[in-house]
Amino acid sequence: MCRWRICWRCATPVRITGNNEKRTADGLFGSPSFDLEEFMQRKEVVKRAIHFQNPGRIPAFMFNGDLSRSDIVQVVLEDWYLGEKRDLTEWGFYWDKDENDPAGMGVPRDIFVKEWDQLADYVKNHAPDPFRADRFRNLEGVDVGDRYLMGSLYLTGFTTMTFIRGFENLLVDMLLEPDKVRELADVVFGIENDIIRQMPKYGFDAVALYDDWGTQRAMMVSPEVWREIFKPYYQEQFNLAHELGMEVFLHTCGDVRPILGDFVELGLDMLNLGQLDLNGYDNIRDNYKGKICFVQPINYQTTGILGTKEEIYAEAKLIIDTLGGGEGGLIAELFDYEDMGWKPVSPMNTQYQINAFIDQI
Amino acid sequence: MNIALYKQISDNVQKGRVNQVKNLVEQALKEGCSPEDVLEYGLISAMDCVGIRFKNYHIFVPEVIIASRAMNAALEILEPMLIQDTKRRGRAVIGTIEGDFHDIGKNLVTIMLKGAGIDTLDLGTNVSPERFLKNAEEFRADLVCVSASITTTMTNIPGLLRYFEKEGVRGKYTVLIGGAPVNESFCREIGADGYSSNAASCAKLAAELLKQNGF
Repeated sequence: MCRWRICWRCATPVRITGNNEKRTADGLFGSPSFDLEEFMQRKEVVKRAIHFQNPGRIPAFMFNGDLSRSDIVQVVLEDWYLGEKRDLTEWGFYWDKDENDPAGMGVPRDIFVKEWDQLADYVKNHAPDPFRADRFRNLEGVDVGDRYLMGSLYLTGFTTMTFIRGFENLLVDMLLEPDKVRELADVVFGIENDIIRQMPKYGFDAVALYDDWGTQRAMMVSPEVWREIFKPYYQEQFNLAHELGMEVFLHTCGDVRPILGDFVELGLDMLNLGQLDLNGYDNIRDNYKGKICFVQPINYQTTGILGTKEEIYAEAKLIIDTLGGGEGGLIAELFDYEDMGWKPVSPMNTQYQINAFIDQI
Repeated sequence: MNIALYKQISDNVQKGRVNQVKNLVEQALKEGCSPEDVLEYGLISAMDCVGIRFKNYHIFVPEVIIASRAMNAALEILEPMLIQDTKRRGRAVIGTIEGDFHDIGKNLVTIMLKGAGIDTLDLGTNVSPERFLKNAEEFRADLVCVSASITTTMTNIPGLLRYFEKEGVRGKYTVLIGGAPVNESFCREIGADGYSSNAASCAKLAAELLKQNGF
């Protein structure tokens, strides 16, 4: 039985044969070369993983660093770091950011909608134009090849709304002025959806959304409030992407156990939990394995940065044991820690993290 | 003691009904209740309940914020009448450590500290040791609460403690630390006074430590 892997050095599909003979699609690694049709395109591997169709290996989503290693290419479609200081966002606000902290995103310097009657002014004078001419310029020069192409709206939905209205204000509004929250959601999700509508003609396979709903111990808002206000917006957004032939990737940090079933119900294709452990390995395995594809990293707040090789491998094994490997349902999210500015205890940790997923399937 | 009235105040604080709380506090004072009792049995007891319900996942951050706002509205009425700060539960300054701009957790802790009746000055994000100390001195703080949300910035926390030691004020302040990568063993290792894994338990820990110090 042969296994398929990606050669991390050159991103070329490599077949590992029973006698350890390495062969590649174009024969670069040895002879004889063999029929290209034997290879599964990397996009196909990702799609099979998403739909539990036995991809044969765990696809890799390299978030940053050497992207040639990735089965997924992510292109960001919104501008969040404009200007000389890279502190201006397309959404109109500036980041209050430490220039010496490459890992830090910053916090919004100003809140546009301090009072709800300022929303119309925000929409008129500051909100992004989803149809701006250079919206898809980041695609230029990207070598997608046979890979899966994901268009990222970067920070989205609720998270973006907190930047415009203020975090504390928006949370209180959800209880006291839910209709105003919906007005702002109409604006933010509306702009996002207008961008999504343009994506198919550029060949995107998926839309990536990054929104945070969990804290270290619970959700930020009650599941009932989430369902009442935000679930319909996600439903509309996911349906739109699906109708346009694209899949949906959603990131959230924290403990979101109460709404995991809602994401399944909404038809979300890829769920990226920043901290799988906070949601309970047993809970995920027993209730959600096989129902939604997880895109999972080694915990980059703890193990990936501070752990030993053995600890990193152990966590990867736990993730694979929880979610499955070759049969689908798991995509490994990988980071170049140094490139992210995260200073791991060993310069080898980035490589350990990558190898940890490869070596265990 | 008008227990029924205190209960009404407490119930309305928990529901975040600002106007009702203000009216009830005014009524209690008119009826001769002491501001200390209104604070203790009406407001702080309400926020204790809020803390417990938050810790047990019965309510979430928005409910805590609106309760906290109701309590603070009532405090504005009581504050001039309270004898100095003796009935408050101490003072705290809070911020994320230098280099760290992640403030959601810190904001939650701030809300819970205020809700626990602790006068809290939020210094925001990316706070240098010098700024922590300057504000702690000016605010006459008892607690210094520091968070780091990523491993890179967590390593800046020991520098804060060293700076306080160098300035000869380390013993003057109780330093609490928190944040996703921080844990109990890190707290012990660097010699901080307390660690908490979440906002509700941080407020509880802060109140306990302040109580030990005579508040």
